[in-house]
Amino acid sequence: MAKPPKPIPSFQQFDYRIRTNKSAERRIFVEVFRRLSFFEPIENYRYIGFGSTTFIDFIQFHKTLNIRDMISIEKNSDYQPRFEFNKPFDCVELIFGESNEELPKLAWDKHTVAWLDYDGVLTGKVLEDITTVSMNANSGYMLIVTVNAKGYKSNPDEAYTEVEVRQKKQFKKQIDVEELPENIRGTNLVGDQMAFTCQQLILDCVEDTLRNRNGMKSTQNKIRFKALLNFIYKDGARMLTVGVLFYREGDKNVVNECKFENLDYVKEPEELVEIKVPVVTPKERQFLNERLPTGKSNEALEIGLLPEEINSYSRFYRYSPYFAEIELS
Amino acid sequence: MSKKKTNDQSIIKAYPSKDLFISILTRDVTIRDAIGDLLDNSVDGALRLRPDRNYEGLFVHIEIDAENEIFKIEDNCGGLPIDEARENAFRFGRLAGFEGTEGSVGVFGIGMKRALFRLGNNFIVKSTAVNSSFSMQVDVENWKNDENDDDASSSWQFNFDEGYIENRKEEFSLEERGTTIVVSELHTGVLETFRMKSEISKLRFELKREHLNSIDKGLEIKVNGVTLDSTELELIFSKDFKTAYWEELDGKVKAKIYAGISEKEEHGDNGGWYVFCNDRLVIGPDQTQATGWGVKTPIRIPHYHPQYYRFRGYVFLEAQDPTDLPWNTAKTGLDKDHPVYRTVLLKMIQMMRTVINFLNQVHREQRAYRGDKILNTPSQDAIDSAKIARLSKVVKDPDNITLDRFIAPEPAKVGKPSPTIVVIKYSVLESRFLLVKDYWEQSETETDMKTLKPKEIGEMVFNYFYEREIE
Repeated sequence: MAKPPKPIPSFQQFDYRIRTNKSAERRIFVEVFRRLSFFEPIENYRYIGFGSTTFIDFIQFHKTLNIRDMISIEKNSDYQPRFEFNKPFDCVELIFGESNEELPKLAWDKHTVAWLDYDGVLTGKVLEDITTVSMNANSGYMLIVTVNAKGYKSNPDEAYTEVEVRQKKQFKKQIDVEELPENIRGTNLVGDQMAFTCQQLILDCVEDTLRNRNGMKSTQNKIRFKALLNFIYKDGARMLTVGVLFYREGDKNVVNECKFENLDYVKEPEELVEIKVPVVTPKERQFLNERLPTGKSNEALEIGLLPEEINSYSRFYRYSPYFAEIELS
Repeated sequence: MSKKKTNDQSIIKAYPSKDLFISILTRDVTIRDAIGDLLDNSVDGALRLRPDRNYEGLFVHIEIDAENEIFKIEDNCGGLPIDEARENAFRFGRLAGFEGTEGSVGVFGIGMKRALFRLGNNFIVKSTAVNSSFSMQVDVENWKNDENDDDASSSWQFNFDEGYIENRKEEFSLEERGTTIVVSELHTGVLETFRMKSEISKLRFELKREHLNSIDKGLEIKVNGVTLDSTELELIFSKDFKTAYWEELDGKVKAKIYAGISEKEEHGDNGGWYVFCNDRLVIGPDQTQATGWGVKTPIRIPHYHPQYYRFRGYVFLEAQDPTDLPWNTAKTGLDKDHPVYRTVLLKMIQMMRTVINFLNQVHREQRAYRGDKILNTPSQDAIDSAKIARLSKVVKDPDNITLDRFIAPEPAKVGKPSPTIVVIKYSVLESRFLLVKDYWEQSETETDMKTLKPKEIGEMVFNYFYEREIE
């Protein structure tokens, strides 16, 4: 068995340009969305996203799921014609404006999956968007939120208490609240812990909104949620994705029919699942694929792959993209 | 009754003295609250009579006669059945298991009595219902002094006047049914208040606000001959706008919410939320955090500001059992922690956000227009060309409302004017300017162009050159 070489050579690092893990994440979404058909055939759903100029998510969800009602919210209205030009299909509607202002304007009378895929960190405005969707979502609706969850840096020269005070203050400002939940301490804001903290805030936001919403509803009609997707990944910056399914208490059996628990990346929210597609050569991939999905993939130890690489490959090989260089003229 | 009169030495007397009782009962009741309570009773009668809330033809007339020292309230709202009067209406507080009027405000069963005690020493109540009719007169001083220490229950009662009617086979006609209450020997403070014209106007205004919705539904309320109107219950009425609405009609509490804009007059002070519980205005126009203004969560709403004077939000909560409603015990405010109000407030915030966004757009548009950054003001124009109509009229037509959100014309794109405009600024001698101005004004054939502003002159001069030399 080969020993892990040190330091980690560059070929094992992330490819910033092609964002392998995010690409796998999109494919995972397709698999999850398909199961929503127990609520409503997925092709009848509406997709809301932030398409930017590339519309990768829109292309994928239209082609694979035949979703035909698509809305892309674009905050950058300065280059409006360029966004319009890049619109991949006629069924994509472009809305220019801040998601904060535009989401409340939408009608929510249609089954919807909304992927609020922010570039930036969790802010007060992001939490507002989450509230807006949670206020409007009905049974079978899905909300996915992706934010940058990079932890704060701690300066070793600074005393711990000072750091804690400063960071909590900074975070309070970032998410725009008067008080942080009491269980959030300075240690929850550094490194990988930040992702857990953001996840907690997102889920709390959904839960509180639903609690308020449900005040007048009969038990059967109360809206519940299930945190299906809790991912972290790194194609550069540390990203966090939280995906929740809304359902009516009376539709619990429909949720059961979807059998989300058969998807091995659907875990309890206490566990953040890391999407990490290992970088392997085409030859290595071939070798691994011939030994999957049965348990023979460990044979790849002999060709020098690390156990964790084999593990994450086994977990994500069905979603990992293939990249090749082509030249277009 | 005398059988109760025992010398059982194990009994400890705990009856209240009537004097103490009355003073506690009336202690914090304002005159306006007292009159409000009596009006509430009449409105409850109207609701009993017309559960569909169509109050056309029903009235409540209040007469405040300071000269003759008399207060009178008269209605044709169905009357008080004699059994009800005998068993419940004059009892102080409700017995367990008592079922009141569905959708009424009376919760504790003290409103009418404390109002009567508060106003004067002598009251007469006359009421005719479906098949009963009675009158009663109480001299409060006499009643107070009639304490029977050995048999308290016998002195805690009133008596009908002779000649009361019950179980009449032939029903009294609708016109005959109703209640009249006359209070005389008014207390000094009450008389002082009634002598002030400003107090009567204030009372009229407050009663009007409280009963806006019943007035809107056709109930005629007059105070000293002046009919109260419901002009505050209005909304914009135009095909360009759709008022946001939401309703939840399945639970014990039924809720309806409307949010939109109204008012043309600049900077009125009726902007805000109006929250009604069983048709009574509990708060409003409210511009505080109680109705979402200035909250940070769940979504950020700005503090109320004169810029939002057009905002109108109406919340109607109804429950058969008034104790299910989210109001405080005095019925003068809302219980913000009540689960019903939490749900309602969340919706209010969601809906008001869309209205506020629009009002902000109008504001931005105006500013941009004044700064010559845009050429037209579609949002303002839409408001200007719209009508204002009664709430009940506007929301009756489903074309005028949309679920959850307010819909208004898109504003002119501010910051990205198309076509791009250049602002020219230059100075000239005033004498020369006046000559040009005179020239233009005299040659102007349109009658409505009388005086021209320097800005207009400048544009005309530029266009004059452009038409001749460039085009």
